[in-house]
Amino acid sequence: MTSERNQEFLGLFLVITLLLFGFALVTLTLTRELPQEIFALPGALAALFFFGHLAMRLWVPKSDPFFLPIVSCLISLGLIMIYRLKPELVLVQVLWIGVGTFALITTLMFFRNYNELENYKYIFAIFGLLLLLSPIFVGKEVHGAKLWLKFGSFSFQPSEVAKILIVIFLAAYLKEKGELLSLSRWKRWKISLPEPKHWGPLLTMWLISLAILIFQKDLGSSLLFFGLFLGMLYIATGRVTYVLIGLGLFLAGAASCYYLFPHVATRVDVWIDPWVDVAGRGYQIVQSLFAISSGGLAGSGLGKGFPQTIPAVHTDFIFSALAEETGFFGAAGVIVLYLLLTYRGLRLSLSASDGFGKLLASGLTTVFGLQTLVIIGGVTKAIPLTGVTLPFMSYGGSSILSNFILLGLLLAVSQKTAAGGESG
Amino acid sequence: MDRRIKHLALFFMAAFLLLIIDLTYLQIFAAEKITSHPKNTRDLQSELQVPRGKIISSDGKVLAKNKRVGLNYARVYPFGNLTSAVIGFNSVNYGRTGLEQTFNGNLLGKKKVATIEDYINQIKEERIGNDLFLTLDTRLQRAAAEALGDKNGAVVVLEPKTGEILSMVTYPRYDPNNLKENWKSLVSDPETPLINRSTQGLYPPGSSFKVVTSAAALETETVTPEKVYDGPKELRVYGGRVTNYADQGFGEMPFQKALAVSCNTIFAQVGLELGAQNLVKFARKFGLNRDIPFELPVERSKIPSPRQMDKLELAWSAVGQGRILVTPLEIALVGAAIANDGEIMRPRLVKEIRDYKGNVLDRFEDKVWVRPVSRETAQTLGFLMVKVVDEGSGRRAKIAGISVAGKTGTAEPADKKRTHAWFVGFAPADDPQVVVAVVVEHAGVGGAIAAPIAKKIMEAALELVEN
Repeated sequence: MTSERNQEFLGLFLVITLLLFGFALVTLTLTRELPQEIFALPGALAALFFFGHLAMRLWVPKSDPFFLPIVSCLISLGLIMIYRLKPELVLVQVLWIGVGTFALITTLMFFRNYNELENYKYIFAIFGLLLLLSPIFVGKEVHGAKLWLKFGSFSFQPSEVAKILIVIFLAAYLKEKGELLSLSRWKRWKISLPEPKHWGPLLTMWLISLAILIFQKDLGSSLLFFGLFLGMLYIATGRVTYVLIGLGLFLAGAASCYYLFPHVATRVDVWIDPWVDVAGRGYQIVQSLFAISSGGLAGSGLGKGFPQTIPAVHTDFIFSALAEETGFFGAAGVIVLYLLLTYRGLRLSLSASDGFGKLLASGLTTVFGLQTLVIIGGVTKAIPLTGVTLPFMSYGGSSILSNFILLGLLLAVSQKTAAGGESG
Repeated sequence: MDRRIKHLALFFMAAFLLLIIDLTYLQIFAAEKITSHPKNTRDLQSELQVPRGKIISSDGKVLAKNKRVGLNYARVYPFGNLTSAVIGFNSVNYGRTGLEQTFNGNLLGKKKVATIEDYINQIKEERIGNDLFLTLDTRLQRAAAEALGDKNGAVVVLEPKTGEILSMVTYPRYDPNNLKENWKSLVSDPETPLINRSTQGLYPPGSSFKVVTSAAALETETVTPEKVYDGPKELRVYGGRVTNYADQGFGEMPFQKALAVSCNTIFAQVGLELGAQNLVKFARKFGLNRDIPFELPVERSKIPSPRQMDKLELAWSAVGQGRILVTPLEIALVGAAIANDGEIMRPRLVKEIRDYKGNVLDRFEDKVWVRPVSRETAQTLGFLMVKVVDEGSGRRAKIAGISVAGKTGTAEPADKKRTHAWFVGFAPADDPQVVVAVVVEHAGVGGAIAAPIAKKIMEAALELVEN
């Protein structure tokens, strides 16, 4: 019995109370009845949380007690909103959370000693790239973006899983080459850079990001991968120049795409002024803004708003629905949860005992934090809208699965750190 | 490396903080501006979930109520087309009309949110609409609709002492309970069943306007009831001529007789003596060229300005032709002025608004709207109008045992089709309880067509007053 795990249990208890209360409230508001059957699925979800908790007592007893309750809270809020918006999808989502929990437990069982991952970095890199670029060749276009692989009735978003493989690769690669990349032996025009032969990774990532943007028409993933790469490069090398050059390259690439590809131009034009074409191209973002704004301070109340007017509300726009029905209090609360999770992740990275652990934790946290920023920023029109999911809240199997693996790896780093370098 | 991780942490903190600031802007500072955009259908959708208040007639009948459709409510109108002109409808697809539109806020139970307490109550309480209590009586409404029958036209019945509208009928009508099935034909029907003719139909008043001319002439002492005029078959004026109905000649007679038999050539002379300035001034005092304050949309009744009238038009205007156009409501109010000693009470359909518990939230008091003529003029003219019914063109409005005052009208429409039949009157003449105005489109002579309709309605109304 560790005090970390007892704290975690208390947190989970509160989250489960919230989950059951949310389901009861939505059911009562929408049907004015409260049959007991509606508690079956949230009950199953609570059991999954508890399994996760037991697995952690078993394999990573000293890991950070904040991760699981915060993640459970986000999952619960997401499921309450899915239940409110598309009740027929709750079962599938709970099944995916089950798969995710299984993946989490597997990760804890087999990759507690995450340092072993370093040895397979190129395998991860190859698999990651294959997954990332596979939709270009065999993908299916949905909502104007090619991000999906279809196997019969089952569809899969490979970029969600690819992001973890890429983080593992980058952490291992940068741990090895970070030193080299931070040295500047090559000088031109008063800018000192490492030798051109080490520019490879930067240019490769730039090309990959552009490829995603051009061939998959996926601005969100493109931004996400390049941002992840720059963040990790900065941490590994401490070179602001890289970040600036990288940003310059990305902006140049994006700007050319604006002029070359109409779908990119549309996204940006709609972002600049969605109100000129409210019924057409601006429809989705305007409906999102209506939803968020009508939430006001306290929200309409669960089940009492009208977020169904937003297309794809249960996936990319779940935050807007939450903002409408729980208001600023709920929406800002959720942002604070994401902030807390990001904060715990980076704190973990700070205290990690080895370079790979540091890079892995900060990379995983960066990809998680960036993805959250990109989609919430998108639906609130702070930045152009791009189609990525909101981690742990959006409906969707690939997203749930990959974020559980991400959580498992963070917990593994956390356990090793807390146990003083000895893996549990 | 740790310093750089801290930088990254700072970046994320700042970015998430910016998101929260953006959220504050969207949800608090700009919320009203964004949500009030016309493409935001939330208000409409949420209104469907509020049980609207009932609309109840003065005899306690429910004219509009709700039925549940899933989470929403839909309107049911038990009296169907009988009350549709007044109640209107409330529909997601076709919008809102009538009292449903005018009192939408009350029917939805919208309350002023002025204090924090109001705000808390608004969150706690489920919204339930307030009920409207009308002045309209369904029994009289039915009697008026039956009296008018299936002829295009309108009827307005009101209580002159209070301004309460007791009945308001238009034909053709529509059933607000099945708009969806009939909408296309309702909209394209050339007989315009969606228009409430009693407030939005503009007709030449014909001789019913002689009440206004007479009031002006008596008030300005241009005439006395006994003043004698010659009433020839035709009167030559300013290069044109004024004729009587059916080219009848009347010979010499006093003014009061001229009103009773509705002699155009005499009223043309009265009009010329009165002058355009006075005629238009009094027409305006009675409500023409101005907006009648009312709970339903009212077309403005019109008379040209004196400067635009030559002598011939002045002569025709005095007999209610020319370019004068009036609504049946306006003619009812002219009758009400004479019935109520020269005062027109503000017309109204709603007596009270109550919340669902029965607490009175708003009670509408009787109010004088305008005072076009003196009590003496009104009483004299009332006496002359009794003669119209007793021995003149309005004989078919006579009720046994009760003195009825009235004036017929036979108005030539601009399209020169068959004439519109008018009657405006009140009863009992010595203590007026009810004013009735009737117009029947393209139906013939006022005395023959409109007077008997008005008679039936006055009888029904007086019977209700007695009980």
